[in-house]
Amino acid sequence: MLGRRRRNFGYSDTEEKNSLLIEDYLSGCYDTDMSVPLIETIQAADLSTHVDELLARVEDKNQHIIIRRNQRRIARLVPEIYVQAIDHLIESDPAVADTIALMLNVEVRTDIQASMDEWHAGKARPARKVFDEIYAAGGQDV
Amino acid sequence: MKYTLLAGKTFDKSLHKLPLDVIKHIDDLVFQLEDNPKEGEQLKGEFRHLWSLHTKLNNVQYRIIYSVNVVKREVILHYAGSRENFYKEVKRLRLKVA
Repeated sequence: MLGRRRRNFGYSDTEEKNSLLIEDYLSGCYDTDMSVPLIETIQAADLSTHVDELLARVEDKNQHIIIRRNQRRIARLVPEIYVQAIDHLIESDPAVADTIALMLNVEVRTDIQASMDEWHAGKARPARKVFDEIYAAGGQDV
Repeated sequence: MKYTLLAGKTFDKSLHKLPLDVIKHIDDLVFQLEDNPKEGEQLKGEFRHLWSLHTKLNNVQYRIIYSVNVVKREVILHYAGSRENFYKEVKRLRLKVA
């Protein structure tokens, strides 16, 4: 353990619990002497040559391996416990769950961005009118 | 003073994919936001400007995503859909869902 203490800057109980969970996870990603870095980077072209060594680091040291192609991050090798930590966050906090769902749902995210742009352009309509038009047209058959 | 409820084309489009009884249920629900715009769950991080309202009808859960402009006292509805559709990528990755 790193022995770090996280100060509570007005976080809610849930946020505090979640941040401590992440901190517990992260603290397991270092050797006690801090000699093992949390994250390392490798080029995609070198991945196959070093895959056994990298998987061992992920498994034994809880390291993350960022894989880059042409200076762009394309993937990350992470320990299973990292995904379990995300699972825990999704289960314990509906706002976090919805945020993760939205991050992953490109279609809905694109729609929301278009809607925001429309509002910024002053083109949003009264919601009452939208509902009334649907009723006038008979619902789903519009 | 009440907030004004606005909707963009994408909200309109998303409503058209839902059955009429669900649309009426959402109609009843969202107008409560005129009095209490922070009824939903505020999303996190880069999405903290968005709110998610949860509801359920006939054992199907739904999500309504909206934002709030406090200065103009406007609530802008962006999306309404089933939770299943909203969470489809989470499920595809087999992450747990509450």
